[in-house]
Amino acid sequence: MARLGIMFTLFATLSLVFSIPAGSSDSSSAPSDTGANQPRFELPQKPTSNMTPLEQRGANLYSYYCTVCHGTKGEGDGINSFQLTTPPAKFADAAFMATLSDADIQKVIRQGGSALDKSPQMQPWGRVLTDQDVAALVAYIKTLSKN
Amino acid sequence: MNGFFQKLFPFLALLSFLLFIGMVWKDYDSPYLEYQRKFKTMLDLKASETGKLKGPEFQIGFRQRWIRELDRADRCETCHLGLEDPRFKDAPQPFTTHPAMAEHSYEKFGCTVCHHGQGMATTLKDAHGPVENWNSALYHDNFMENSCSLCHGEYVHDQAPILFKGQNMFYDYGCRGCHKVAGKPRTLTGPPLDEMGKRVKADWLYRWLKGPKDYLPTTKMPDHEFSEQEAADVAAFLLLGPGPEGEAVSGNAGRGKTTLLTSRCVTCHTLEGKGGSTGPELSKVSSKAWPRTLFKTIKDPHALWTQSRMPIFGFADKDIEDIVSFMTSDYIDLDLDEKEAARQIQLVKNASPERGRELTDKQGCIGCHSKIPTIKELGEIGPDLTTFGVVHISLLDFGDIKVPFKNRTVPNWIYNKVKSPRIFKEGLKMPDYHFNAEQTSAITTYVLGLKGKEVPASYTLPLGERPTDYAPQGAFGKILDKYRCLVCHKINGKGGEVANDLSQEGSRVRQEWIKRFMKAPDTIRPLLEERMPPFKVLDPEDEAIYQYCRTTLVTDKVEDLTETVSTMSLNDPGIIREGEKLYHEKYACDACHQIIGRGGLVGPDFTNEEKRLRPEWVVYYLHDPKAFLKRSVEPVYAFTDKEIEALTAFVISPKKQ
Repeated sequence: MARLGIMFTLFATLSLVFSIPAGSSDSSSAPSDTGANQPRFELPQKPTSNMTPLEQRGANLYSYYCTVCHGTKGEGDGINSFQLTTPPAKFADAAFMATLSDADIQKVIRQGGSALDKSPQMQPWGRVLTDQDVAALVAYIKTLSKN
Repeated sequence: MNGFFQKLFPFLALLSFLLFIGMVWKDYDSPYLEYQRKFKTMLDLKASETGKLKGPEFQIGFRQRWIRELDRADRCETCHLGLEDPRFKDAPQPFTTHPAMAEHSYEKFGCTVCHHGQGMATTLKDAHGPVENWNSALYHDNFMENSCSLCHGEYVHDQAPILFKGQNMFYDYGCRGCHKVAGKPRTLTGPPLDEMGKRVKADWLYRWLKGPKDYLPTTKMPDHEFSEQEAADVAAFLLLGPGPEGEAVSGNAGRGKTTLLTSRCVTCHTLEGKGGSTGPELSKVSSKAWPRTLFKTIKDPHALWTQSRMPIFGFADKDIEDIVSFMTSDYIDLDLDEKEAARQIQLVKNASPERGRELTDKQGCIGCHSKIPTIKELGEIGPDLTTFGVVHISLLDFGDIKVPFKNRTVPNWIYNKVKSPRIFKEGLKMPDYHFNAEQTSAITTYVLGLKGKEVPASYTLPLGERPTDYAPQGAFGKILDKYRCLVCHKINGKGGEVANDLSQEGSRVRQEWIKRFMKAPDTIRPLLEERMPPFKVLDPEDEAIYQYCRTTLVTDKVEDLTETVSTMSLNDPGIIREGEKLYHEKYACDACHQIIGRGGLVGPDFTNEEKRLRPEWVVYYLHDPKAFLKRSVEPVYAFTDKEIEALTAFVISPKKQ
């Protein structure tokens, strides 16, 4: 009987030990604090971006295809804008952007300025950009008037 | 004693029974069931939105995907229930739809092959990690791209930009000089270090060793964290042997300045804050190099360093003397304290070359630099990184640094090691490259991708263009080598991206134009900062370039158009006028192209195209601009044949004011 008691005690203790989830042994949370010159252990930071992936994609396309005329911030002041007979659209102008629907912007990107009776100097990109590219560009362009 | 246990027995028996029940209950009510019940409600809700009473049949229970080819069994879908259902795009985790699943179906790939983590676990903590003695914590967002290389190879430019950047950095910064990676070539990234006494000034070499980025912020030379004495010792060792050959070069500095400014050196070198980054910034170069070295470098850079990217311009000696005397008088370090420089020279003079030699050997300078006198090249001195991406965490030493368990992961270790190489242990050899967070993430991503594993052929899908081993022989090969054309231009898949791809040059331009342009390159693209330098091209070279272009750098797609073009009336004034109208009115080509000072700056200037382009090329290009250059910023139109004829006629017609 006594032996059985000892067995049960052992069993109970063992099951207790194994049923408790293994607690983390490193409870210290502060990174190294050994002096000012010592390099500190750093955690890699996610690049901070307040853009959605779609807008980010649009931003990349915009900087490749559009900035040269429309300017980096959509002020219509890109380096090529001064060579044009019609000044490029200002995406930073909220009042102007309010007059355009998404479909309008998409149409001009795809078919060029003449599609909306605007200057043909805005070129048609429909055969260069995919539908997703155009959607991304529209999403990004619309953020430019929101600051 | 016996009595004590007898009394304890019923309690212990009860305790064991309760624990037993507890375990059963715990397993019965696993946390994943909670998620599954939630998901079921969400499914029913989605169904009710479409007018149905109940959602589709939903089976509560475990889900596992066995991907035999990749040796993985993933149970992630047990909780991540909406990952293949587009309706859960905006649902909170763990139900969110996985983006872009079309290319990477869950069925074929599972999750952990890309994301890492413990595929067979079904609790949040165990599945995502880190778990003790289990290596794979979920990859941090910054490093995710490391998994792409497993199937897509190393040349994924656009889809995995961080990985690609990391890979380029790995080679450019000479990591491969010390670290072996099986199957990857070893490259020497630094210049040879023989005859340093002839070449550089003692005080400069001391400062350079002490902090290379202080002299040249863009340099790839790392900081070895030498003490003053160590830097002086290494400098003393490297300066052993003959000293400078004469202190000055006699020349006309004024003429030198003109030659230097008209030779478009800024295409590669930054001067006074403007210019390219292919070569080093030069505004303080006379505080570094002795004039004779500058002379020799300009005359024949390849004699000093066979891998130098600098072309042999072909200047006459007199011109080089003029340039060097201008550089000696103007390109000096104005912040240099002469007293301090004198002290540094003295420090190097009194230093011990023997100790310097020992340090040079120990630090592994030979990994990047060739021709270090008396030092033998014995192969990589750093750890082999062939499979470092899957190294077990227990093999990585965090030293005395207290890192909480949840942050003890392989990626975090590599990241910190790259960022500050001596963080975990003092006195290590690895030098500090002073990388910023973005660069460190890129290198870490690349190193994590070194898994030394191969996936079955049904999984491999190499993306991106791998550089070819294009290396022409004969006269043209010698010319490419002399002028280092491939530093900027690409030919048949090899070379730089700074300038135009020349693979089809023979089909593109006219003979007379090639010859004239090689002798006196003018500006074709007004917006570019990098421009073709005016090399002193010799007549036989000119002929060889033309012959090679005309016979080899051609494409049938253009040559086959000769017949079509011969039927076109390209000289007909009516058709030219028609083309002019299309050019200005319908297609507004002037938005990007200039003719006699009018029009945009984006594309090539069309003023003198009648001397440059072949009509076959213009026809070919107008049909599909992307066939020539995928990344060209040119819209694609659907011109009719008549329009192409008219536009071609106009573009290659002589323009009048």
